[in-house]
Amino acid sequence: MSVRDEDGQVLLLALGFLLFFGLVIGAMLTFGEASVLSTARLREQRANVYAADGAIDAAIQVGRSDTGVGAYGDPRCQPPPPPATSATPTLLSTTSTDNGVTTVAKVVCNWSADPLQPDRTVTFTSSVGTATPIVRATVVYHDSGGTVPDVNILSWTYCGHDSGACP
Amino acid sequence: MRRNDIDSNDGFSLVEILITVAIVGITFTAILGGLITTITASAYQRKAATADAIVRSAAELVKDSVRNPYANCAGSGAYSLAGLSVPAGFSVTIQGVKYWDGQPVPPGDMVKFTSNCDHGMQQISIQATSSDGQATETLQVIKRSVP
Repeated sequence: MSVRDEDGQVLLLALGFLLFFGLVIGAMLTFGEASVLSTARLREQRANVYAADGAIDAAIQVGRSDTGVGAYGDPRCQPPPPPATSATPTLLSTTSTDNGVTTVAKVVCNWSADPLQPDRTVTFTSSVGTATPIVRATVVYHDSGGTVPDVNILSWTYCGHDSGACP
Repeated sequence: MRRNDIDSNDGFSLVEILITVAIVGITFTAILGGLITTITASAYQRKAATADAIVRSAAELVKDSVRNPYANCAGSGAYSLAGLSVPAGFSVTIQGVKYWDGQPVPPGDMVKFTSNCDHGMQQISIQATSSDGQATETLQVIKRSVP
């Protein structure tokens, strides 16, 4: 066969076109998939943060109703003594439904180590799924003020991806 | 001239053109399909992202104890979304409010929200929707009485 012969060149051209446009379509679909995945991931993150945020609010309010929460020596807010065979007990859980997906957030707490303080200083930490903290808040209950104590928020930290924010 | 003469092009042009047109037609149909899918998905994602931002802004507004003080036994209309910037083609509403039952929570148990008001904590459902109904985002937030 002569190298100048045109036989079969259309096939090569067609294959070239198919390859080129296949790559173009593949790239477009990859972009589209990345967009969909990022939106879904952001939605999940948002749901987790709002669930964790709400769980902390719930814990604070439960602590106003139950003045034993976070009081000195409260076993609900105390890690097990060493050697610890289990994690710090869960104080409470909340559920929230976002776009049909139910998220369960758990809250653990730690009481102030100072028994002489008349007011409770309690740190609440919430998480979703794993034990990785999402939100941490430290509050003071002014128990001496009345039957339903006022609350001051000392700190409210979104742990995010910075593990150092909630050691 | 014989048709299978290797030096001849006679008789192949029409078939080649037809095959080429068919291949190119199929290819462009696939490309157009991909483009339309991408454009449709992109439009939906944009609406979903906008609705998501709106519902989050509304949630922050509802939780804001200064602009929306806690209202005992609040109904859906008790909290104002006035001042919230909602783009054209979207709407945001408070779908419903549930109330903490006020019962002590055994360690690790769920905090329960019911329709019986009110013990200082509410679970509020907010929804943002695009006017064409394609994108709907809902969010539940917990609001507690302050201080």
